[in-house]
Formats: sequence, C-alpha cells, structure tokens
Amino acid sequence: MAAPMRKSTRAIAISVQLVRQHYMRQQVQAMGMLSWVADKVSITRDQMAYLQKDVDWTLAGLQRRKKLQREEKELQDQEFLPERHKILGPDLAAAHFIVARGGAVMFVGQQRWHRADAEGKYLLPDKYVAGVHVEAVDASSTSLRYEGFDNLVDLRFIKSLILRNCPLIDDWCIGRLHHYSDSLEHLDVSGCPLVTDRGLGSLHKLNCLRHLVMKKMPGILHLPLVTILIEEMLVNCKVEGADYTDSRVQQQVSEKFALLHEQSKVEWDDHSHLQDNSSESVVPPTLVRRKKKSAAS
Amino acid sequence: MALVRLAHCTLGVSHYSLSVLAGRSRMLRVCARRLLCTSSTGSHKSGNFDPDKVIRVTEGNSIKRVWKILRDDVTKLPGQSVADIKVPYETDIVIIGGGIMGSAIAYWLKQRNPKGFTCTVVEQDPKYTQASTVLSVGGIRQQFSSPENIQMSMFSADFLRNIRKHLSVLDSDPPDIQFNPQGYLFLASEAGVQTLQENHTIQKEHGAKVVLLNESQLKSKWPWLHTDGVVMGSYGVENEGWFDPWSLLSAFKKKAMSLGVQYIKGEVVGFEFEKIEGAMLAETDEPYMKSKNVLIKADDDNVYPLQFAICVNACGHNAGSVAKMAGVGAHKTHSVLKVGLPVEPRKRYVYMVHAPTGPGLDCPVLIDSSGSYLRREGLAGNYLMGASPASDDEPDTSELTVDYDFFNNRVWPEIAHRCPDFEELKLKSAWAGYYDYNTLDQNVIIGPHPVHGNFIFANGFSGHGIQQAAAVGRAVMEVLFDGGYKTIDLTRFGFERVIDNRPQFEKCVV
Repeated sequence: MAAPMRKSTRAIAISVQLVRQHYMRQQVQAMGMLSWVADKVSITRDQMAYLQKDVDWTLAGLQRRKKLQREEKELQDQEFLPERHKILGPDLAAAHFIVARGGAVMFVGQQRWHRADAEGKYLLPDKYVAGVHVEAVDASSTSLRYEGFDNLVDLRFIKSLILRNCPLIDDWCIGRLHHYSDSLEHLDVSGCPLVTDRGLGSLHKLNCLRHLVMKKMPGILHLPLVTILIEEMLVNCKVEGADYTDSRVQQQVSEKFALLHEQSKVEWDDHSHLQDNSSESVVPPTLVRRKKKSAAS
Repeated sequence: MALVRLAHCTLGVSHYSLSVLAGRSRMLRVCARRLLCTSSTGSHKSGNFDPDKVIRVTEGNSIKRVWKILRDDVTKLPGQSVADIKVPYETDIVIIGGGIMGSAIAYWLKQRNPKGFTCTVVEQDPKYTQASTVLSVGGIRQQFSSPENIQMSMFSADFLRNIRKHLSVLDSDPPDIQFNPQGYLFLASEAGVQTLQENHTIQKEHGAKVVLLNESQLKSKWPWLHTDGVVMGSYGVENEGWFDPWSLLSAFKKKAMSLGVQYIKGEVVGFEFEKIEGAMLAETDEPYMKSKNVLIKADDDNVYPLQFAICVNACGHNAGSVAKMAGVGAHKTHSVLKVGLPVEPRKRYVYMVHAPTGPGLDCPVLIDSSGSYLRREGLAGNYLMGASPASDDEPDTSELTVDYDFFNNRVWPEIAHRCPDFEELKLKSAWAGYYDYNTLDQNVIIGPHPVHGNFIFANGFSGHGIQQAAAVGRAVMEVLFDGGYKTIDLTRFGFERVIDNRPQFEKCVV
C-alpha cells in the first residue's frame, strides 16, 4: 500500500548519493595538482562554498543539524506523488496518505473511521475503486503541513476536516482550504498553535461551512473578540470558540476593546496637530501598536 | 586589483587558501597593496563633496601608510561598539541602500557563498524614517499584467511561507511577518473590463490563483459592497494579502548580518573612476573610466573612499541621483552613457481611519475602479486607504508632509461611494512615503549597465517592490554568480530598454 512511495524516494536518495560521491571523488583528485586541475575541472562556486563551510561540532550544532535533516525528511515524505494518484485515484490516495501518517478517514455511506493500528497496519484497497469517496478526514495530532495538502486534492465530497492540535498547520494552510469551498461543512482547528485570527479571517471563502470549532487557540490573543468577529463574518455557521456570554469574559472583552480603541483615540477638531509632522514623529501605525501591546500585557 | 580578487573568487582556488588564514594575513595583504600602489587612486571624480575632507589611507609616505593601517587594525579590538566602525577600505560587493531590496540582495548573495567574498551595505539612515519599505502598506498580490511580475510575486509568497526555514538566525525567535491571506479584489467598470479579462488570462496561464466574479457574485460574497458601475471583479484566492514590511526588513537584515554582511551608516556623495589601459569608448574616442571607489560621508562629516569590485544600486527613490554619480547619464554626447536612470520619487499618502460600522474580517484589499484602495488594519475597526494621484496632479516630493485635502476630495468620496459604511468615519492618522517611480513604464529596472558592467540596477518598483524583494534578490544573485537569470528571466526588464526607449508597461499599478 505504501510500498510504491517508499521505493521511489529511496531511488531518488540513492541517485543523489551517487552524484555527491562522484563530486567528492573529483575534489579529492583535484587537491593533488591544483594548477593542472584548474584547467581540466573547474570547481564551481557551490562546491567551494561547501568546502569552506564551518562545521559546528558542538552538541547544540549537531542537534540542530539532526533537526534540519528530520525536517527535510518529513518534507520529502509529504510530497505529492503522481504515481499514487494514478494508481489509486484522488480519494483513495488521500485516504492512504492520511492513514499512513497517523490520521483517520471516513468514506461516504460508511460510519466507521479507518485508522492504522498500533503497529501501523491498516486495511484499504490498493487499487482504484469507483464510487469510493472520502467524506471526513481526521488529521489531529499529525505532522500534516502545507505541502501535505498537495495530496488532498479533488476531494469533491469532503464534508468534515478535523485538524485538532496539529503543530504545523498555520495561516497559509487555512488560506488553502478554499479548494473545498463547495462541500466542506465542518472544520475543527482547536489547539493549532500557528493558526491566528488572520488565517481564520479567510474562511469566508468556504461557502458551505456550517460548523467551525476553534477552542483553545494558543496563537490568538483575544479569542472571545475573534469569536464574535468570526460569527459576524460567517452568518450561516455555528462557531464554537471562547464562551463570550460569561459575564467575566464579557468584561474582559469590553476592556480589551476599549484598550484597542484607546491606542488610536485622538481628540481633535482640526488636522493642525497632525500636519506639523517632522520625519521623526511620523511613525507607521504597526510600530505604535506593537509598542503599546508590550506595555499593556 | 579588485578584478583579480573577483577572479579568485570565481575560481575559488587561491582565495580559498588565503581565506583560511586569520585576519592578520589579510592585513598584510592590504599593507602590501597599499605600499605598492601609487598615491592617487583615480583621475576622475564625480559627485558633490569637498575634496579636502576625503580621508585616504594611501596618502603620505610608505612608513606613514603602514603605521595608519596597523593603528587602525589594533584599535578595532573586540568589544568596541559598532558605532566606532567607520568605512572599511575595500569590499568585493557594495550595495547602496539598506532597505528591503538592499537587504534581500545582501542575504541572497551571502547565503550562496558566505566565506567567498565580502559584502557591505551602505545605508544613510539606519532608523529608516524616509525609506519606502517601512512606510508601505505591505501588500502582496499576483494580479499583474507582466508574466515576470506574476512569477516574482509567486516566488515571494513561497519564500514568505517558508520564512522560518530561510531567515531564522540560530538561538533567536523565528521571524513572524503576520501574513493576512485575504486577497486583492480589483473592481472594473465598463471601461476596464477588457483589460481585466486579458490580465486574468495571463495570470491563470502562469499559475496565479485568481477568479473572475460578476456583479451578482460580488454582491452575494460581500454584501456591504455597492456594485453600482462595477461590471466585473478579479479576486485572488490564495497567496495574496498583506504582511508587516518592517518584520520582513529586520528579518532579512539580521540574517544577512549573521552571514557576514557589514552594514555601515553613510551617505554616498560620489564615485571615483580609474582609467582602464587600452579600453576606449567607441563613439567618442575617450578612454573608458571604470568606477573604482564609492565615496561615503560618515557621521563625522569626513568622506571615506570604499574600493569595490561590483556596486549594486538599491537606493529606492534616490536611485536616479546615485546612478548619475556613478556615470549613468552623466556623459554629454555618448549615446549610451547620456541616458540616465528614469527613477524619481513620487509621494503617496496613506490614511488610517476608524469606521465602527465598517466591513468585518472578510474585507479584502479592495482596489476600486477609480484607483482608490482600502484594507482592514487590525481587529478594532481601523482601515487604511489611499489612492495614486492623477499624473498631472503629482504632489511635491521635497518633504513627507501629508495633504488632507486629497483625502477629503478624492479618497473618501470614492471609497464611501463603493462602500456606504464609510460615510461615517474618523480620520485617525496619516503618513506619506515615496514610490520609487519608473517614469518609463512602472516596471523594475534590473541587471548590469551595458557599459559600466560593474554597476547593477535593482530600481524602479513603482509601488510593488516589497512583494518582489525576495525574487529580485535571487535574480541579482543569479546575474552575479551564475552569469544570467536561471529561474525567472528578467532580461526584458534590463537597462537596454531605457536606452532604446522600449517601454514594457505594467498595467496593474496601484
């Protein structure tokens, strides 16, 4: 099931290794007779930069390099593979992709979630089957990222997308959800630390959205306020965010709103005090806002 | 000498062995060169400065010169504040202008080969009080009419999405540019529908994610929009929106500095040229004068020469005058050298208003058919709006003072007509900034000058520079290190079109 993907990535990794070995062999030969070699083999700028690079042998440096390698591997793992879609079709390819990475899918007409067991094994058709469509995707707590959404294309019947506690889902991913604008009805992004009110503000592109869950968003500072604004924006949608009917929360919201107003409140009758602006006093609003936020918080 | 050093950079052979040694050997090399060269560096200068105030390390007899160099090297001990560093004696690549373009170019150059060459950025105002970068509204869009502009914006969006990977400096917080994926909505009246549809075809061809909407679709999507007179709208659904330009600038600058780029505070007041043996200008039979030193006026009012091999012009709205100092447009009769850089500053106003009943989170960056624009700012009901004045109504650019009559007479009525919720608003503040306006065709001028091959342009963005900075930095890196454009081909936007007077117009200028 996941076999075609693993083989091709390994093939790519091996060919890159071979090319690198070839260049390293060339370098070793080149070091011997520099002047003669300079005529035959020109050392490119990138090869020279690689040789001149400082290698950080401290523990922190090694850890950093390992982390980078891990991220590269993850990125390669979530790449779009056209063979997978050719063999399985868009729905089953998406199902395999999600289930193999710790998520779950539900198909149209069925009630059970398909998930991998503790050993990573799962049961899904390994060839295209007509009439099988993904209705719900649960990628909670997986490492799904922006590039992974390349594999979740052409899901025309998808109704529910659950992305709870996904550490790598950010505003760019939310901005990409417009592909499901004709069918997506339920979206859950609770606990995603990189999702902010800026990304959620682009959800108006989802015409069929009826239920949005955004509880406990570490990336949003004024969650009750944002809940109200999102509710105003998505008129046909039930929004589950912070509970702003609580009187204490209402007090907090009105205080925060007053503070935001206070920052830009100006008592003036004419424009004269704004007109004598030397270049020092004209400060772009974004700078002023940030300074005041740190004073307030 | 500098050319030879650059040749070493390219081959990398002997320079590698030299760079492995510590700074002391570099000082010895500089000493040796200074001792051997003659006392006058060039027979031709240009610019406005007092020649008596130029401090040269090459003056005096050989003992004095060695003493000066040794003394300067010893006084540059660790622990000295950055403010004491004046202007270095030499650098391989000097970038004039430390705004978003200069910093992006410095980053892209240095990340390719951090140890292979030295790079210096000369910025006259480290607080960026008048720089276009920090005064810009910070939008990014793919809705252009030139394919190259579309591709550059798409690459920049890709770069901004992966900014943590590209511009994180170890042990610091990763940069956050606060991107808002709202999208640009261009509205077209009857007169502009044809152009909108043609542009849409080009944009779709090059992979931009934009949709065309008719009047009823616009009304249903944005009920607060008054679609009177609007026939069609073009909306970008992905990779369009706005971000914080100041964060992007400081991210580029910090990363460039961590890779070894030196930022110095100084104003460029002139260039010095040297005669190249055997090289003559074809038309006028004069010897060819190649720029060798850039004269930088530091805080102490003294002028220091900085020797360079390649100079990149990233000055923003001052680009025309700096290019003239470097010899572009300074000659009287030569057909190529008499053509100056057609970039001049144009003042644009941005007004911040508060409208309590204004559109909510779904407000896109609205560009009305009349030319006025509007976008939301924050969550408290504040909005930014502005417009480009008509070409015969351009305001005076000597100071950055704001004209509120322009708001009352042009911007407010047009926006209020398009969105009646803005009938009642309160003007909070306003500021003015410069566009580095390309008077020829409002598109970027990029690439080396045909005669002065060591002078590279990256100017004339006319209001859409912030969203093309990442792509332009990569393009300049490809020109200098790969010999030509490898990813996005910007040959069409070279300086040659200015000489031939072949404008390559950009139709979607906001």
